[in-house]
Amino acid sequence: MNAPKLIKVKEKIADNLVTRNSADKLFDYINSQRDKTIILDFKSVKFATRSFMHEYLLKKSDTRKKITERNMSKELYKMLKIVSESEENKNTQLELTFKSLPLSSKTH
Amino acid sequence: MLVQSYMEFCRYRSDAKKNNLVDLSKAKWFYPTTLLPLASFLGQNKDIGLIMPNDHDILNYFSLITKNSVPETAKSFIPIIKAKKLDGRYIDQIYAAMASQEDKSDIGQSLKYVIGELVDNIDQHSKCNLSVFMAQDYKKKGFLEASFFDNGITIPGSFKKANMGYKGKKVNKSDVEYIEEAINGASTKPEGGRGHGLPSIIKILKDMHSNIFIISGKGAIYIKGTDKYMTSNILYNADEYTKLKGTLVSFQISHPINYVNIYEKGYL
Repeated sequence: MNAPKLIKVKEKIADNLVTRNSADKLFDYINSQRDKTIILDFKSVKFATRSFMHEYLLKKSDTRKKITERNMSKELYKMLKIVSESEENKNTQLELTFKSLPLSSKTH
Repeated sequence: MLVQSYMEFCRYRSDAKKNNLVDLSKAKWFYPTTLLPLASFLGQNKDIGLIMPNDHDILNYFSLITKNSVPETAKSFIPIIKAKKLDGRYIDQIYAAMASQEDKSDIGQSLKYVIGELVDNIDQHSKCNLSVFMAQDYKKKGFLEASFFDNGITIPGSFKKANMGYKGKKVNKSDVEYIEEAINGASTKPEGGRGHGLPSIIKILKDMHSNIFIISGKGAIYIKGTDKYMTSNILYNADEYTKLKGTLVSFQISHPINYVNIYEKGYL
């Protein structure tokens, strides 16, 4: 049996994981590998947006590869947990009230 | 003040349409909310003449800010740069510059989150051929202002293209109605788990006591995060004079920055 393939996320993408496209790019690379088992090393990755993590989880659930995460920081793990647990509990309503006004050449 | 700065851009644009000239000779200062859409407008209308500022300091600033490169070391400003440069590799430099006066312990990573999600929004939805970012820390004035502009299909345009209103109910809404829905979590994408970006950005910025202005097409929204009673929020219906071909998102954060822990309080 072959050893799992190790991918260093910082080297492959960046130390801040920002866009959904970055997650797509990561999985394009993962899916292009012959190895069936992949270890993703998040060492020195400092930050991920919610959007990146959401796309990461979508792609992870789609791939046939067996993926294991390693060295996720506390913040990355929190983001992963928030996104994976929030699918059914979406409450994005902002409790803000607004008045309506025209925006025209007479404004200010 | 964000709305006033945008109106200044509208005046320059209106004059340019009449006279084929933008006259900056009397300019005393520039804010990102004025300068970013103006620079983009000039970039797309290269036949329009430009009279540079008379004031030497303002002229120097104008030259620096339009240089289009991320500074190697932390400065009090980020010049106008293409937003596609704002990927993970640059975001620390942006953050360092924007948080230059503050505790950089990075509690909650709030600024990184706001910048990152706005970049992803442009990337995912705008279908633009130009997207730019600029930020300036006004030390003496005691605030930081940052703006994103893209010349894409706009937030209302994105909903119209997806042929939907919020929850698929009503269509043919006004632009400002689409914007209000977007900030409350409506998404043009079919898969679950979408629509968190703008609401989370606004929740975070509001708790950072930031004022926020978004204009997209003929709809605009202003949220005054410095008003603790939140009675000053405005939805604007723009007219032909004030409408924007594209989307501008600006925010202004007072010093000292009130960082929030984005992983708490249901921000995300």
